[in-house]
Amino acid sequence: MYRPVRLSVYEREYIIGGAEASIRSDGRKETEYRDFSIELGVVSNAYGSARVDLHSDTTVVMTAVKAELVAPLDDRPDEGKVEFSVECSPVVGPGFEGHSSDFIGLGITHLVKKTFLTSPNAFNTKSLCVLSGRQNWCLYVDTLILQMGGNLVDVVMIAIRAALENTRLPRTTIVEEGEVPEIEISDDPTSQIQIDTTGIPLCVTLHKVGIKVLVDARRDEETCSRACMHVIVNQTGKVCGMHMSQGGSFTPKQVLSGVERAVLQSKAMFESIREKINAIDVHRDSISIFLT
Amino acid sequence: MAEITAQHLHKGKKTVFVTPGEVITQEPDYMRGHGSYSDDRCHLRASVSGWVEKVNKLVCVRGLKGRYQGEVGDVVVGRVVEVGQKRWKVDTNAKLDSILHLASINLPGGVHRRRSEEDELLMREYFCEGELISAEVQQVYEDGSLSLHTRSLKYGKLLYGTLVKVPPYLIKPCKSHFHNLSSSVSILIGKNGWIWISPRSLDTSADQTADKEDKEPDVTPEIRSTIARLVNCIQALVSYKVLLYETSISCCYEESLKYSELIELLKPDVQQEIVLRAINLDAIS
Repeated sequence: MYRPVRLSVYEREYIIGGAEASIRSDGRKETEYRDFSIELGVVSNAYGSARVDLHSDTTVVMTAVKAELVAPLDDRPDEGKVEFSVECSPVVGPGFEGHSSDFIGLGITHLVKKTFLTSPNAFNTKSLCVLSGRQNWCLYVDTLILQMGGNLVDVVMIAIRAALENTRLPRTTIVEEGEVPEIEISDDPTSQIQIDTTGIPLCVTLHKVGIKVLVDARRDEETCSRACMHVIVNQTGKVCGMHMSQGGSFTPKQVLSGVERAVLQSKAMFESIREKINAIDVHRDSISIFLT
Repeated sequence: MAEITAQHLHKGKKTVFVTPGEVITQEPDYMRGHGSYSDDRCHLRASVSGWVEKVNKLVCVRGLKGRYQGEVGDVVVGRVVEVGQKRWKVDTNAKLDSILHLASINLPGGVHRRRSEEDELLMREYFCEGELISAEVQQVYEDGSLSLHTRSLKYGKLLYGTLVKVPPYLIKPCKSHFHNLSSSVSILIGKNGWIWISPRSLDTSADQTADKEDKEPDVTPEIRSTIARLVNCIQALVSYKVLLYETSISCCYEESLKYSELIELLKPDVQQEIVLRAINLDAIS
């Protein structure tokens, strides 16, 4: 999932030494997370979108949500669908052109899909029901990686949550005229339905560099990492999934303390997302008051 | 629109800055070079933003952004990507890989090199793939690729430290690109936009001696945090597009000392504050 950067033996040793001394190359301690910024509504023709930017030596990720009315599966007539996809844009840098970077996107897509499949409470697909057995919403959550500065999975999950929080579906009414009921989609921008996002989890990735376990690794640290663990935590602080990528292993103690740290970290991240989105909402409200 | 007259172009020394689409000259007898195109009325226009350069009748625009365009005598930091026949290929952030000939290096310890086959077989011992080196541009070939040399004690392999990559146009050309910023930290500002910060003082001229080469210097936590602080300061200066040279970096460093926690320096508002203060400090001094 990670494309390593080229490092010399000495740089590697310096990075590992830094991690062990708790002074990483950008001065953070092993438990410190970079700050991120969120922009909402960046794609005008999507139902919801978000751009997340991890500061300094950045990772930039953009997610857009599109919706469509589709026929549900036969065995689940009153459930909608959610499709996830993550793609790596060639603008990330030279060496990411063509299909050479597909595996990065595919790896993360796989992880995100697995997360939502294995934790059934993550997304309430019943809320996407429009007309049971006939037409339900299908959400396409597409993520594009625009810059790589490490810690991709975490940022992708933040972007997915932010974009879904930003998503507003048009209100639908069922008109029962004649034999076949018809669906009327309202085009009134003031009455839209917000999606319930309380269950959508975040991911905290831990890397083992030297003998220390780091959160929010940069790309050069990822290159030096010997093992990598993604801990998926939801808003209530419950761990709803764990994945390992790359080879390597953690000691049982490291796993336990890592999970604990991930739960703490995710709590701060949920709060931070909430704050940032609220700040944007307040800002937008003040503008709309100003305009009227 | 600042149109350039023939006198402007003939003056030669005057730097003319153009933006894409701007008319460089309306006279038809100029030839278009890199970064320019002629429109249907035979007006020469710029296709990139940058400075106009003229050689006889050939007009080029040297772009501001983009990869490093080398000049003879530039100090650069590069990464060895390939060991080949009597030469190393070095990534210097230029459009093409630069070349370092076996004949244009100083051997570790200053040993005189004998031209032998053994020597060629030992090339990987000198510089291996992935290693960082500092070098000087010896020659610029016709296709724009560079030939480097390390025939001085100050150049050679770079060992422990951190590399910061910045856009090359932010590097201010200076007399010296090697600086000791404090008693224990030295900084090498490569003209190609790669900045190397290392815990070793540059005064130790015995840098290249073979016995010192592989020994790990004791990097104390203080040195590490100084280096990390410098990295963050450079990133802050870059995000506000401030020219990088010794004074701007050390001014920013001085200002950043107010914040004892290094993670504070990653916040945009703190970055803005220290950069603005550094600019003021720089202007006064």
